[in-house]
Amino acid sequence: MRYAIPLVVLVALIGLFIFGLQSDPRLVPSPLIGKAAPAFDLPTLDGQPQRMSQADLQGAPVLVNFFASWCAGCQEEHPYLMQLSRNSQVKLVGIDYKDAEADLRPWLTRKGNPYGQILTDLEGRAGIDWGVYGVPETFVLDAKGTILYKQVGPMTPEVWEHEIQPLLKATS
Amino acid sequence: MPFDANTPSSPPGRGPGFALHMHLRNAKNWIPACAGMTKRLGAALLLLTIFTANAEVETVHPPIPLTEQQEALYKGLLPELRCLVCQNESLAESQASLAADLRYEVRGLVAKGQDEAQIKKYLTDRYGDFVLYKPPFEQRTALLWAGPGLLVLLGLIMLVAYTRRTRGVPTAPPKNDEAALKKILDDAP
Repeated sequence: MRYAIPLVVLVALIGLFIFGLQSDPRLVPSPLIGKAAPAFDLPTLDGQPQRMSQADLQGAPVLVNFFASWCAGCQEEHPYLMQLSRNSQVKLVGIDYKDAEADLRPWLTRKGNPYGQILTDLEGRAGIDWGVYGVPETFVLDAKGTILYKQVGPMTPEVWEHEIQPLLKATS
Repeated sequence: MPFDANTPSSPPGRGPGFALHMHLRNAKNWIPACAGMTKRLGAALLLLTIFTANAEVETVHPPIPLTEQQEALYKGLLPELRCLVCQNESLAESQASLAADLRYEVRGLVAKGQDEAQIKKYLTDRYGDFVLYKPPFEQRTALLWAGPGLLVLLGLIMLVAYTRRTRGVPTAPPKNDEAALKKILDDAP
């Protein structure tokens, strides 16, 4: 009986530590969830149209994927983005983050282009406005341009099926 | 920076440390690693053999002149802001390229005449309270702020309870084995 309290404290601490170990300390929750997509005005890679802004993201759900040809996580998620671009109901917009066009073009040719539209954010200013602190990061926008979800790190089938699809279903 | 000389893929005009930066970035899945000196050396040793063609384009930031007062505000603000990439470093210390970009943003806002609160709002609107080393007191952070005080209070309560319980209770004198003592005394010469 005299061990009851220390035992309870021990179990509580173990629980706390397990909880702590499972959460990612580097994950920064985005304050943009539930808000309208930040304003931007960026050149497109193919020049048609020459520039795009946040208004051009409205009309249908969109995945806005900040990526770069120099980023390893982007290579990791690339095959899955290709798969998504083939068979999903959402549009993919890539924002090429602090990347040289001369590096990006061969990267796309070699690996394939999953994006409906690619915007270039050479200086990372749009990245700052979107609260991007690494690549890849993917934002899910509904048809009105409201941010529903942010994925930090590579997109995976699990995240798509368990987090994003239910959100898209709920809004459509 | 001795390792840069050995790294063949450093593009011209992008400054020293660039190639290492690039290797560090590519080595991790997602978050570009901090560019602290020890980490740089360690990572350089580890990654000397890894070759990647592409590299992040480091933004060149032109200098922004500030008045003396503005400079003081800028210098005072930076240590209170947390680098998102190297989360144990402030914006003042971090060598991550995002930190350089954010320093430039902050400097620009200071030059535009914004005050501390406006600049902090600019950053928390984008990155959340995470960028502040001192988060605001609100419901979500109540435990964080009040926690240490609560723990001290709990300790005091336990201490008082313990001393009350034991105070005034006479401690029994140690029980001596009289027979054994007597035997020792008797045996003594």
